[in-house]
Amino acid sequence: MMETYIKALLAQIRCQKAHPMIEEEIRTHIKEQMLENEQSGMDKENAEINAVYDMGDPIAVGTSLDHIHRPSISVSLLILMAILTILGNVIHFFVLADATEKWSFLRISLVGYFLMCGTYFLDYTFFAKYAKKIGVALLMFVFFVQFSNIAISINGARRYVPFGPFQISLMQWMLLYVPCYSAILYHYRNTKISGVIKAFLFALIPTYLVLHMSGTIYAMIMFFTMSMLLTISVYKGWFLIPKKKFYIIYWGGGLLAIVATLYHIMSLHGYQEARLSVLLHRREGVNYVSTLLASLQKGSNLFGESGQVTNQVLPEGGKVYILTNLMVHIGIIPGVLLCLLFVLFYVKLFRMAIAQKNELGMLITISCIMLLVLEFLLNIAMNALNVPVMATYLPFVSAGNQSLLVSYVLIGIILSTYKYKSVLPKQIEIKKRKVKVLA
Amino acid sequence: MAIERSLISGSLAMLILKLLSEKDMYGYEMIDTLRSRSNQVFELKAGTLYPLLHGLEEKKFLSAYEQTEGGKVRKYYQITKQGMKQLQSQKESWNTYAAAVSHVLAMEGV
Repeated sequence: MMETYIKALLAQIRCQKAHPMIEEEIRTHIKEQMLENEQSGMDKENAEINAVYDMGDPIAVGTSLDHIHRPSISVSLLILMAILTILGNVIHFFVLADATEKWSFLRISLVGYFLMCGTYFLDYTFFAKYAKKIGVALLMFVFFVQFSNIAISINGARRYVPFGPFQISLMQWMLLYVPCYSAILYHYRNTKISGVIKAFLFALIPTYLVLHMSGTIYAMIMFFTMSMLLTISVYKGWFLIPKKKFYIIYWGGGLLAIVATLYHIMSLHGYQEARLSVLLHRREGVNYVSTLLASLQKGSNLFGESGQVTNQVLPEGGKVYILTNLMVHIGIIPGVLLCLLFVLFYVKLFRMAIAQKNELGMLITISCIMLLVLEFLLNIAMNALNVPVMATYLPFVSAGNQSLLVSYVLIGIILSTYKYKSVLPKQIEIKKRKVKVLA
Repeated sequence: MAIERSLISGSLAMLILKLLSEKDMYGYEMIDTLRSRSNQVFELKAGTLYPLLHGLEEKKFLSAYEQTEGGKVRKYYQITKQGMKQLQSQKESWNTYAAAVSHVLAMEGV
């Protein structure tokens, strides 16, 4: 009778992912009621009948629960992304002189938007089950490509893989390893120090591989984000270790030791040593882009065109330094307003992360947000605060086909995790249970 | 004495928040506590309680966690800060409503 009741109730709940959580709660309740009925003198059969009767109409109960536990879609985020896509294209059509680049940006941003919508339909819990295998496969692939003749070498950096008419930027797509890392951390839940060490290795190895591609900034962004994810998972009690000890050892000592070790292991190319020297000593006349950016910002008006030329003097026609370009052509205040718009955008994304009941979904969302926010902050720092020039981009605004696509995919992942915010419980089972067969 | 359902249903959320403001409870415990505290007036069916609890959790008035006791895994609910604010607001509304009703019922025919 209990099973019939539960089956009838669950049949009203259309989202299958909500069934395990609801079934467990209802079943536990009926069993508690049955036990009390038996203790008050009923026989087993009557105890069950009465317990089920006390539950109420399964159709009505199931229908009520169906209203609550259904997949969500953040319409406001979809609209906001449409606005940012339009804004990015307006900026490119207004700022850039090269007509081909404008149309390329438009094409890629439209592809990106649809890719984002497609990513929404993916089930992150399915991929989370195989996160470790996916992570290992990805790292092995990158390792193989790096140390074989497949990757195209440019100034010693092996970061592009030929794929038909395209060149896939390993460095850009490696950012998608970070949301996967969130799921890898989830696999090590309820483990002790050995789990932490293994999780740390899953962060260290991709960082090394990206460093090997001469993607220093990307490696730093990835490693910092993964360190934050590891810290959050320790804070949430995923690992059975003393939290304060972890914070002190990891952030205080271990990080410095690893960075120092990596620095000595990596042999720098001549141009990298020169770049680092400029970064640290700021030699006059060498770091011309930073100097030029500062001069362009100084010459910009609060509103309106300043008359300064950017497309011929900044590297790559000023595409990467899109914020400075914007300030030069339409004023400092519109540039600041654009930054504020992005700040509000990221605040909204963080609120979506906090709205997640499921801890895995929350961590995956945070991983995507952190990657975008760090890129944003570094690009602002480079454009507006005269921080030394580095390889960054302003998400959804800067030119860069693959970085733009990756940014849209990250938002798609956020939409995908948000989908189950009302459906999944705090913890879910993603590991296959090993069943021992007794002889 | 049978109480009209509409009188009960409107205040159930407030009663549940009140119980949880005192201590964390699981579903069965809430039904039992509500029955005894109301002198058997409120006989809440589990089928009414669980959609209510899930709805309150969705609105972030409650949060849930699992705890193992005596080999049984129970889902406990606890009130959040937002839930406490909501309870306070509902109590004020209820007190105003109850006072107004009592005032009208106390008046002799005018």
